[in-house]
Amino acid sequence: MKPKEFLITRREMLTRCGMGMGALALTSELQGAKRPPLPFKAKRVLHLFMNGGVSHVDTFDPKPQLTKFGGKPIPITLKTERRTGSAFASPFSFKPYGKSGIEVSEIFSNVGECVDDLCVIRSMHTDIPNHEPSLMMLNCGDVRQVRPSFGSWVTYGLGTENENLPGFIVLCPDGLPTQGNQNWRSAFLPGAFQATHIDTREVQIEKLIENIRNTTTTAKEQRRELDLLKELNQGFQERRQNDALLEARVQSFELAYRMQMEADDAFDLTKEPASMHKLYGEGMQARQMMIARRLLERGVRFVQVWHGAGQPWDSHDDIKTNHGRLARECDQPIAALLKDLKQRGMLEDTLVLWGGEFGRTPTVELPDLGANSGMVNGRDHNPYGFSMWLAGGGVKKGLAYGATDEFGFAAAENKVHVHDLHATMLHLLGFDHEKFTYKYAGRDFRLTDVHGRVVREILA
Amino acid sequence: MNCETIQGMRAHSEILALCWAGVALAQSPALDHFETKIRPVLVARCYGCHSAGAAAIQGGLRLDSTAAMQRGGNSGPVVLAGDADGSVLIRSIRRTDKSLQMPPGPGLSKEVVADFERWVKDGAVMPMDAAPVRAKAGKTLWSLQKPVRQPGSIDDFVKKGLAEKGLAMSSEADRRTLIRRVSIDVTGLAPTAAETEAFMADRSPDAYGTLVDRLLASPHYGERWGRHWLDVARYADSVNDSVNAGQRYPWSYTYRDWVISALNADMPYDQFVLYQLAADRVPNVDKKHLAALGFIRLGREFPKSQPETVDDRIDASTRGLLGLTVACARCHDHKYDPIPTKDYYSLYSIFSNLREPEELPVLGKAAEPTVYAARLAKIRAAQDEYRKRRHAEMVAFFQTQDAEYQKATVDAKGLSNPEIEELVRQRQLNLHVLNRWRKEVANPSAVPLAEFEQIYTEGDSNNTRALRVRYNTMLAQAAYDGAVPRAMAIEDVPEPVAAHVFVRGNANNPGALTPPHALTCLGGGEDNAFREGSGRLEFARSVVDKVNPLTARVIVNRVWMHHFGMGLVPTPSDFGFRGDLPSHPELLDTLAVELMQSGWSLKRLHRRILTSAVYRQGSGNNEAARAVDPENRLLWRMNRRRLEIESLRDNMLLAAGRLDRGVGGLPFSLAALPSSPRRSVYGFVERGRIPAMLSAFDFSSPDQHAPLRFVTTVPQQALFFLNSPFVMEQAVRAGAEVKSREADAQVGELYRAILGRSPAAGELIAGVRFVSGETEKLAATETGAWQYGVTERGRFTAFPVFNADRWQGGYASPAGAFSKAFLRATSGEPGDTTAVTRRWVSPETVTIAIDGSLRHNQGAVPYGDGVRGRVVSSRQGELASWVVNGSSAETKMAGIKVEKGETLDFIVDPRKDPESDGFNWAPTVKAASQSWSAKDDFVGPPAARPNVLARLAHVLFQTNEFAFVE
Repeated sequence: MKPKEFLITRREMLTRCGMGMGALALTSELQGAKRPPLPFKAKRVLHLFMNGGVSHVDTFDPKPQLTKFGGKPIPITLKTERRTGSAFASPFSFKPYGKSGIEVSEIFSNVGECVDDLCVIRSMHTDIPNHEPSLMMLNCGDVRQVRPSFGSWVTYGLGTENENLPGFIVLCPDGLPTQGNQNWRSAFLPGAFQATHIDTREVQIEKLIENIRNTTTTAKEQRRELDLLKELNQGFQERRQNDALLEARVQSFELAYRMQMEADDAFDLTKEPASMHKLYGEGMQARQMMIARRLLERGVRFVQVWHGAGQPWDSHDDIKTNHGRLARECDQPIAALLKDLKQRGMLEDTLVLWGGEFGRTPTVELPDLGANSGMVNGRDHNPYGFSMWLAGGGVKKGLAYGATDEFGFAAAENKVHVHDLHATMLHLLGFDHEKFTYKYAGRDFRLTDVHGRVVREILA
Repeated sequence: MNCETIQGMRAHSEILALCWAGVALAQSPALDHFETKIRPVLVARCYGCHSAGAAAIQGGLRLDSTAAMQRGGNSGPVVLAGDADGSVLIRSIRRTDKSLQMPPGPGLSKEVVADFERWVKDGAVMPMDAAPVRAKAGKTLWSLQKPVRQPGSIDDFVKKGLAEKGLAMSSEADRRTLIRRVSIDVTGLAPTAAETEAFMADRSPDAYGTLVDRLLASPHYGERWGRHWLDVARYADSVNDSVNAGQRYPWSYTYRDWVISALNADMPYDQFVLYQLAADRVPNVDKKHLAALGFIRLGREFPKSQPETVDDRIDASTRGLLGLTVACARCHDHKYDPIPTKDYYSLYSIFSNLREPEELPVLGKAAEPTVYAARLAKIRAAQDEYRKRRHAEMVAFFQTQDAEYQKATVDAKGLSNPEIEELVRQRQLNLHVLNRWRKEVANPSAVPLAEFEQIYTEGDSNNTRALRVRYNTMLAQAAYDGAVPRAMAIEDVPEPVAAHVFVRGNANNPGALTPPHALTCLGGGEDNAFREGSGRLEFARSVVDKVNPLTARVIVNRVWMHHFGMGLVPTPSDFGFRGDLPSHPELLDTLAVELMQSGWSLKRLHRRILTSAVYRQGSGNNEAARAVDPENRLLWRMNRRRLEIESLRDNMLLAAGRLDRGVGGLPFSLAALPSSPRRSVYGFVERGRIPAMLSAFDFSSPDQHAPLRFVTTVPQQALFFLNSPFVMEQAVRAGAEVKSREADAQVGELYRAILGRSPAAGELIAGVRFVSGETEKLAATETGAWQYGVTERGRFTAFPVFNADRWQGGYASPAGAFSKAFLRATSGEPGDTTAVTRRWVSPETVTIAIDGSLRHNQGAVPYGDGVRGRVVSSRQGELASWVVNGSSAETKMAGIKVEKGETLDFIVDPRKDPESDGFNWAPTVKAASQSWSAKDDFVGPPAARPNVLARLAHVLFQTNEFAFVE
């Protein structure tokens, strides 16, 4: 269906609904794609969430000083969740990749091959060394209070390009990450902007999207029902001067009818050629990266891919084994996704974000009386400095921006707070983060609250 | 201007004067520049020391008014308008001069410095001097004026508004429309065809008045309007936060039922509010009203952050009852409304001094399942034991460190608190113990048991929390198993402590002391601070005091909103400067005064509204009127509205002839199949995990107070109608109720049941054509080889209910004999005395192997005795048995010969101790050519098989006529 057919203007909506300003952001804003107020580079967002906190000094932020000081105390101590001790050299080796020569750890060698497309920010920082508040900060821009998630803001602002699929989809295998649905809530924005969570372990479409499958009648019979419905509704509407509110509901049934097929198709990986399966590789991560691409391709506005339920990257213990295993699971699929998007010309207007809710300490975590006893060779949470990378969607390519101190404990140069990251990403999507507001409970709310600076240095 | 702009400002006139609502603030670009670029920085970085609100003005310099700036500080003027380089202010923020570097801490960025330079060059324009002072702003807010009753009826006021625009009301709606509208408005339920016909035939002059009275007297009135109130009260049946996600409140429903019965009894609204805020403090109160305290208690909890819990309570009470956004004043004085930060913290003093009573008050009589008392006592004992053991270990450990603490005590002399914290960190000591040494407490290492929480480790914190959650879960289990109902009450702590302002909302940054008092704009203040306990009862009295201009207006507006689809004030929880103005202020005031004069009777208010001509007018369009007033704020017609999900669901049950009209009781699961016939208001609301059925239809999130529901139209709603088992189930039931044999009579019956009327000629033809058409049925879905149930004394009983992802005993587990037993695809839990059983029925005679593993988890504090898993054949008896307790067992067997129809039961029993018995077990049965996986084959009940009548009912449920009220 062409969106225009039942696009309802704001004025029309106000008229027909008899609703006041509080309910203004309604039907009209739920339907169809919208242009952002400012020039934009990115049309959609892909967030690859290494939840639990991927260690930067073992992946994208090499620290020779750390190797040098390995086993010795370092002059920097910052308060983290638990007690840490001496410098803990990365067990992984780094080498430069691509023309840019940005160094990447051996555990992300495939992503390393794509480094000339990445903009690695090595000076990220956030506020609190615990998962819950840091997840909330990265996803919703506030450590504690109930605020809409980034994806909700984006779908609120841009609408959806494919009305047969939800505009904001979260992929997470095996259940929910820490903080569950709070990570993608719409809070005071209309409920339609909350993400649809999909357990990528499931293969049956009816378990992916509620009520998507008609299990009682054939498609032909369902069509016959809908035709009768249309006829009855039409008579009702004609007697009511074709109220747009009534028409919107009629159209939503047609939409739902088509959505049944579209959703089936979007999640059906048997439709991918063997070459694609080979490119992405085997396993859960390959599967969900491929689904992510199929969704983006179909116009889903915001796709967030979590590594797994709980907080898989939270390697308090044995970083070598654990980070090694986790990276092995996702390195090839992530690289494949980047290549795939690029080859389809989609990387240009897809803004990709990779990283965790914080980084990890360059110092080793110490066992403590009554807590994490027996933990060795792991790292604690680190909100003071960590790395994330962006790709596509109008960011500079092959750039390593900012730096942590010589040990990688805290962001030191060109610091980028999570608020700044949000401001920058909104900018790329065509929004001034200070003006993109929603009035609620007497206040104009923003994703960046009262903070945030657009990091112009990384814009292409 | 952003929120932080006024951060740090105290109640100080010049600046607060800018909390305007559109007060004439010049639109000049210079002022704009000041407001967006300069003021926020001044506030955030300078006013702490250089404003009238500063604790101590530094250097005699104030930067908060033009006059003060021109006057400058002790060393002269700091700003020379037009001369940036010559201005001390600019030089100090540039930090080029070593002796002059401001502000302290990190310097201002280059961009900010450039903004300041531009500002000075442009003349250093500041708007303050001309702006009105805050007190005046308060006086001009319409909602703080005393409401005055004006002569005239509702119709008079509305007609007056319309006449001013040359408009008129629409004519009265037809009787059929009217009875449907008023029935759904008042009770949430559509009238039956018979009721409609009786009303249409009733020609007596007071037929409509009689109808209104009958509806208001119906117990369904309380259910409908109770649900509206539960949105205000952000009601949910579970706690939700990351720590205890999904944890149920044991007796949340007693609050919900109290609300319903209070409304049904037409409890005066002032009393209704008073009880919800302070029933426990009201002298000689009937104990049943303690349930009302759920209003405070049942919000979202933040166990790791009390300020958030308190904030939620302040917000629900102030937006919900007073229509003021007091929570905006948490970090700074309200930007627009006359609410200083001190008001927020005076309420903080009230809502932070609360606790849950040791024992929740009993509300009624019921046979208490005694088994739970022993279990709860056991968990309490485990908690005590854990604390004592770990406390002893910790103290013993500290005693080995005496020498280190002695040294640290010496070294800590003269250090600041952060430095001491750092020292403790470096030396791996405990701060609390060190402080005892520093305070020279006798025997400092022997920390008393009561202070355990100040010395325990992160692991201890996790373990004690796990035990607390276990206790609460058990309590909820007892409640859901029929334990005597109790009030989710709160009480004041014995010695309430007044809060301090948290400067910029930061709890670690205390400012002025704020004793509890009424809001300043309502005449409260430190001079008449509350004195009884936390001050909650006095606060409640200040809310319902007849001199309070807000409370009556706010509730009148909410009632109006639910009758018309939009309030007279379209922002029902914001009556401040940023909210919308009332469309009919005189009408709002008159209704508010009359509400108070009528003894706060809501039913009288309803009756007045419902019998007005304004309410009774038709909802048809009028292009001329629409051109003048597209939002229909002047009420030239009735608004057409879509039913809320609760009404949609309830009316489907009603039309299917199965609505349970029982009032009150334990929550049931809305996701369960076969569906419960109870009204939706009794559905279990899990905070953070609202069933898709509700959330797709704009159900208010219970995370916080909800002023109104959104009205969205999204395809998920249509998918619910097209494919949900619930709608099809009601359609099948409605179809089965049809008695006639002839197609036209059948169509007629369905129309009457679902739409409350007979079909028109065209509709009859279409309907008959539809039911006479061919039908193609899908092959019946495979019920599969698996069955799910419990086994007691060797007898298998299938579970009756499928709830979202599990088979269980009832609509709200635990349920009767099934107790807490359930089975999911890969996991489950046995009941108290019954074993839970996944039964496999062999479709043929074949040799099979069994694969899988049985796992039982134990937390850090082991609990219960694990479970026993068995495989039992109907023909061969027990084949294998495993006991797991915090362990797992491979459940592999091979070479088993089974006959067609033979059953293999995979039974898990609780062993002796029925606690902490959750397990994982998803066996696979393998034959040579085929295998049956418990996980992959797991399904709910087979879909209903609709016949053609059911499918016509299905269509009628989906029509706009069913979904809208006009």
